[in-house]
Amino acid sequence: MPGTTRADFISTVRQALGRSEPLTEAPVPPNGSPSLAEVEARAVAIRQRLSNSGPELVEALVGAAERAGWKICRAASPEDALDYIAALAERDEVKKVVRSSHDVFSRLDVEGTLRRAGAEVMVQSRANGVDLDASREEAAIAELGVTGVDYAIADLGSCVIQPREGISRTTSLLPPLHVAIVEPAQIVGDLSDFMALWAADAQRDGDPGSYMNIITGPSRTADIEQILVVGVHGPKEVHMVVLDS
Amino acid sequence: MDVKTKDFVSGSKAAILDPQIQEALAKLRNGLGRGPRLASEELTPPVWQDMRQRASDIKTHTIANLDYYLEKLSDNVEKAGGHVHFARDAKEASDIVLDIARKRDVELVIKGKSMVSEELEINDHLESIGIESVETDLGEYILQLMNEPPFHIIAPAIHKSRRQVSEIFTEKLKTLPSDEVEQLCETARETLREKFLNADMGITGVNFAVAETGTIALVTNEGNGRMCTSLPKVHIALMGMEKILPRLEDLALFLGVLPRSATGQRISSYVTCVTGPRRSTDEDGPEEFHLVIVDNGRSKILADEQMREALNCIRCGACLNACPIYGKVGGHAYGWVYSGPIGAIVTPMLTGTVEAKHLPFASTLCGACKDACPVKIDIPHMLLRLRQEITQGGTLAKNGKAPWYEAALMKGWRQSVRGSRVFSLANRLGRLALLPLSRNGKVRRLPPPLSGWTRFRDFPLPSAKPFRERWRKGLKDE
Repeated sequence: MPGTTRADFISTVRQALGRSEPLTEAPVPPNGSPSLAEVEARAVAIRQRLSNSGPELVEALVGAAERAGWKICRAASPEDALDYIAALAERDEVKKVVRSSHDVFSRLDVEGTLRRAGAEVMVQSRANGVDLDASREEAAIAELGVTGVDYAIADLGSCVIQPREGISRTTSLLPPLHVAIVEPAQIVGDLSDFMALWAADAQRDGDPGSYMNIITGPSRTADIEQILVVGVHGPKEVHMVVLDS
Repeated sequence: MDVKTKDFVSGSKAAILDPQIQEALAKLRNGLGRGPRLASEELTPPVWQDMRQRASDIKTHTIANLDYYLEKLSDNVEKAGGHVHFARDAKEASDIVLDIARKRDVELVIKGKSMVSEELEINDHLESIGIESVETDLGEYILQLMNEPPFHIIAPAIHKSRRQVSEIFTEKLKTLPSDEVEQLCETARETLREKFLNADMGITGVNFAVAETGTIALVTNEGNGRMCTSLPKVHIALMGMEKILPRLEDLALFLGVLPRSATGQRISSYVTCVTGPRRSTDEDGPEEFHLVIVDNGRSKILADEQMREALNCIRCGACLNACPIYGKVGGHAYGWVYSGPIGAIVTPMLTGTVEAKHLPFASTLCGACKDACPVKIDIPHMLLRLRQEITQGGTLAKNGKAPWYEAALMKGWRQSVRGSRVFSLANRLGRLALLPLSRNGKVRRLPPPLSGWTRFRDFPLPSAKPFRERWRKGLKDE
């Protein structure tokens, strides 16, 4: 194996720092080093605060998301949400759709609605008997990807998706059109809230999960003449459907 | 990337004379360069200053305990099922990448933007063993087709016009010419989509590596970073060893600081966090994850207590956008991967002060870089330290010593400004000496070895009636 051994590499670093021995105690960062219990307690407090907050979180999310380039649908009922998605599919004459198996779809029959609108829907989940290659091929030709979210961040207008069992990495990435469905209970105030909750989850499970994406609006670039163009490699158009509680 | 730092003078002259480069640089100031101003307005100045201070404190702490955090990061990447490799220099790092590529019979690599990968020249190495390696960040892709190095850390191809992009696409991709930027982006989307779907290996950089969990974070806008970390069966992440943060929660602060400073965004379109390869229950994702931690001269910076702070850099490019020198000479003149004020420090330290001796002098020391820096790096202080090293032939700059007459001149200058009597005497003597060479109070041309001073500007003749004298007599009378 090419490369330097870990011991040699770290020993060089240690020498550069003017030390010859490893630290005997873990260094404490300037922002502290909370214990496991403290991390958990803070997560509980954040969840408590969020569950007591009123409609202002939804308002903040919708405002920030719009500024970030999401198209917004505030659905008063599940039927509103389904109508919106069906209209979108009709507008683009969508033939193929991929969707994740987030929990929200047990309450929202996106599949049935889109099929009635004439589109084929693949649920990208091995539990549904779909293998990895087929799942990717379908996502690569689908015109629309529909997902739930794991969190939404109000002050940034962002959705958080943590791919795992039942949640493919490609659903929100390969199709040119992405619809993300947000339920009010998933909304957190800001990035610090989300990171604190994620850190607590990671600690409890002993694993932060292999993958996490914070998505804020469509794919974009300003690499040619510093002119902003929306839609490079990722989705060109993104819709956030916010369900009423 | 070849080191061309010794050509700074000719490189900067060429850039200054190039109208297209000057136009791009002028745009930059009010484009990406607005970042720190916007952040300060949106968050109010005290909040922004507080974020900068906290970010600076965390980086300084991490670098001061880097051995500890490297151990912790490596342990946690391995715990998540990833492999960790250590590379003393660029050669070792690229050998590690080639070794993995060979073992997995890789034929096509897709690459995200990574400045460390530029240090390694990894594309050239991969191609030398018959592996196609494609840059997928739009700017980097354009430059790869043109065979040019990046002009800016954040926006690598801003010095190119849409016409040039159209021409290279027409030549290399056989597409129809277009003067619509949207159409050019669409061409890149379609061409690169094929590569994404067929690649066997993805290579990315690392914006932040979290020691506590072994997580790497990527900050991107186009979506290519997500492709590189989602589709191929192998993912290699390359990082300079200074990129560590202690805890997952630190990301909240740094993800607030980096996009604001880099592009003026509150957050980038995508933040992607990778912790090891796909789990057995995951739907998809790479089967293998490798983290390559690169020194390549950084331990030299670490060992120098006055320069150590340079390792706090989060590569946002704000100092480039703020710098009046970068704003005129652009990125290529600096002759290596890192340009602008941070490049003027890091490049000499990583590639040698003898060749790069011009770089620390390419600054007016106005401090705009320090004000723009989201982690408050005292760049002007370090530039002065490097200048001192270079002129006095110190430990960093063996054989780089300035000529004897320059040292003598500086010594004389120091003596003359120390006391007011000597100073005014020197002024008078100077005026007498320069009088025969002057016309209308200006010296147009000084004789060698001072001729460099007057090659591009006049030297003012010291005033017959110095300010101190006028002050003593009362300026009001004038």
